[in-house]
Amino acid sequence: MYGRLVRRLQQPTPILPLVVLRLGFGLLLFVSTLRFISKGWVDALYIAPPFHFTYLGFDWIRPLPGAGMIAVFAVLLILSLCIGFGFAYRLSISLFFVIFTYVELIDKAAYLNHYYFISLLSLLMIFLPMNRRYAFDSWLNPNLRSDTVPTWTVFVVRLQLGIVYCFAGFAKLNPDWMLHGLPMAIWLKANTNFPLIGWLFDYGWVALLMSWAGAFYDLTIPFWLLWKRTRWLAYLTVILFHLMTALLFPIGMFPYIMIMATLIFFSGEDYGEIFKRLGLRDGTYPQKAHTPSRAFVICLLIFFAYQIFMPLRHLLYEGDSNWTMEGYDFAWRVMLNEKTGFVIFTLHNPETGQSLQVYPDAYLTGQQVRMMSYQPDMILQFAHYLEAYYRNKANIEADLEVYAQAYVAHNGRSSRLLLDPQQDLSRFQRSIWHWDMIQLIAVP
Amino acid sequence: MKKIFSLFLLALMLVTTGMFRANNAAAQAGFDRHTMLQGLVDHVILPGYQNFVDAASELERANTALSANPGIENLASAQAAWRNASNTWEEIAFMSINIDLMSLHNQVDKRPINESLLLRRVERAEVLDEAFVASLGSNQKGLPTIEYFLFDPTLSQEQLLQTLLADETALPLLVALSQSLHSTARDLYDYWSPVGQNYAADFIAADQAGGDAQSTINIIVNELFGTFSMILDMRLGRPAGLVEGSEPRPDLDDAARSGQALSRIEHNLIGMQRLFNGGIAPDQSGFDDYLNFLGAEYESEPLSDLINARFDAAIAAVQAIETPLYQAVIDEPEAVAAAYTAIQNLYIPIRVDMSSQLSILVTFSDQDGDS
Repeated sequence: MYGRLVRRLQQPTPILPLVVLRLGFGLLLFVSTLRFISKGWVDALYIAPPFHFTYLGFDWIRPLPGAGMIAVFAVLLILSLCIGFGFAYRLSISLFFVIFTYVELIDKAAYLNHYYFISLLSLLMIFLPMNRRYAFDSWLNPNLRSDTVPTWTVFVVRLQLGIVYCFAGFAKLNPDWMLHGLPMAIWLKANTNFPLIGWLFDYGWVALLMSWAGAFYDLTIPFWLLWKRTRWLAYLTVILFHLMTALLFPIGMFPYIMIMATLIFFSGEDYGEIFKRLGLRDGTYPQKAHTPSRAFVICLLIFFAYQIFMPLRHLLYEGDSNWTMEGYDFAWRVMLNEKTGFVIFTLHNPETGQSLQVYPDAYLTGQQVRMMSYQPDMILQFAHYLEAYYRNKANIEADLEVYAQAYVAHNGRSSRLLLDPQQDLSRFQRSIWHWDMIQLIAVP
Repeated sequence: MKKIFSLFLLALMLVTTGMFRANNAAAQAGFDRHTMLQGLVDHVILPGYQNFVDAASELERANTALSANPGIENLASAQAAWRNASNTWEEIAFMSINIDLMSLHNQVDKRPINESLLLRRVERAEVLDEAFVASLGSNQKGLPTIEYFLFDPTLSQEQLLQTLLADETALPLLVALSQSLHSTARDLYDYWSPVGQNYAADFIAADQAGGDAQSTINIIVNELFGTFSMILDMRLGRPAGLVEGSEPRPDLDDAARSGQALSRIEHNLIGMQRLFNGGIAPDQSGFDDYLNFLGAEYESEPLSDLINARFDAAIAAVQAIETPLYQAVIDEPEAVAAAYTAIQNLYIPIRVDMSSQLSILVTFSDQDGDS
């Protein structure tokens, strides 16, 4: 069984799905980076803020000073094109992975699921022979050319996408989503002026139908895409589904990235026909050896095991992750909640008995305020920042106490206090363990 | 394949018919946001700006009378006209929702004023008329600059009048400033009016743009957030020593000359409540009706009722302060703290519960979000 599987994964398969993915990835990331720069987000998210929310264990990652971050994004632009056109591919994709991941680790407030996906995919792409056809590299170096690659190189990308979709689907299997059509109902009612079908969005059953359809889509689409008989119809569904989300929600490049990435599910034969119609040669160059080492296979297994663990780790925490946010990120919990929060900090000097209130809007960007307002670890990190800031500002030697009134409304329910407002946050440290200060709520 | 779809549809039917939480909106026709926005224009925004045009006109008339016949009575009339104009302005001041409006609003009320630059410009001016005022920066004109000339809490009315008369430029400048303010008020009305630039049409139409459907409502609600933040932080919290400091700071009272800071806050709240309710009459469609349509509740009570009750409580708490803010932060700290708390208690359900129900994106930036 194992031997058969290994042999199957080693069998040659046309390289074309990888070529299409490389081209799509490079060009889409070029557009995405250009869009990011043109919207002024490099400055707004990385240069202007004096404070950044770091990831636990990555506090040492800081934005580059001066025009450094602009240079970083300029390099990403160039690397995207190099990847797309297969120029110095291995170096380009390696640098892209390192730089892109560095940028994403600077500020937790900028976390998006699709950025995480791009980091993972680019890491995977470092080890895939994607530059052996229709690339500058293979054009410059004919010895590199190959029309086929081992099956595993395409399989791992499909597996990566399957993990994203399936865990996004599993995350939707909760009472709010499946029984109450939440938060879909809230979002749809805010879009009743949507062309043609907007009038339907006021009806509860539409929200429920779309919630179920979304869960069904996420849980099954990789399989429909894998099955030859349903592939084209499934891909049409991918396009319609993601375009619909793009029109309804402000989720930027995510839909287009998924529309592009799912192209990997088309087979070499599918692309062969298209390439033939385009007059491109196919089937001339023999397969080059690309047998992975044992160490690489182990790394690959760890890579995917990590990706199975991360979306499931929320089960190890007490309470509903959708409320506590513990084990929430890096878990494909995409567009799962409607959450709004507001935090007021109170600093108290126990020596003088004086207190003052602080509104985070004066210290953080709007994006940071919004993201922090319902994430306990970010509230804790900012509480520490405020404590140090005011101690330095007023030249106080004694430790200040910091309290937070963090009001959060989840999926349209009345707002609740997320943290115990009587607890001095300066006494707590961030950790990967459950934080007792989070006031748990009953799952409806 | 067919079996899978059949099972899926069967499950869906079961859930839709029995299991999911009854939503009071489910069987109703959709809420007409277009009508609500049209109502906001007709019952809140246009009347608000019209009231300000009238108040600015009265202020111009009073300042002209003061200039023509300087006397205590005319000074008091001018001061009363200014207070009325200030209050009227505050009831609509939060509608600074785009670049054009921001520019016009700054012409009306940009604080603090640049007194030294204004006096230097006046010294060099040949004629003090409306054209001269038009050439001034926004922090050298408008309500705060007129306030600067019409009020001085350190002087008696007689002393203030003598000060105005001693400076030959003061009264002509007051007239020119109030003429300019009146013009700006008319420009603002004209900007919104269907017979003028008709921004009202764009304002309503911006709710029709598909994926950007919430834009108009998003913008208004975000402006409310900004106004509340400003009141709680700069206009009340800091002078009271409750925000960013532990000691009262009377010097941070932003309308100390007229002693009007609390009245400005009160009328700001009155205006925002009017916007929330879509007007004064109960049948006018506003955010309260929208929330009711969505079935928005807070602890089993309609969220709109809670917000209205907290508006009333906040306005009453501000009215309960008897002295001007710069004095009250010293003499009535408990009353000031109570007003601060009441406004904060009002802001929280608006910022958290209302924006959650309306799926408002708190748009300080338009960064994407899929998390």
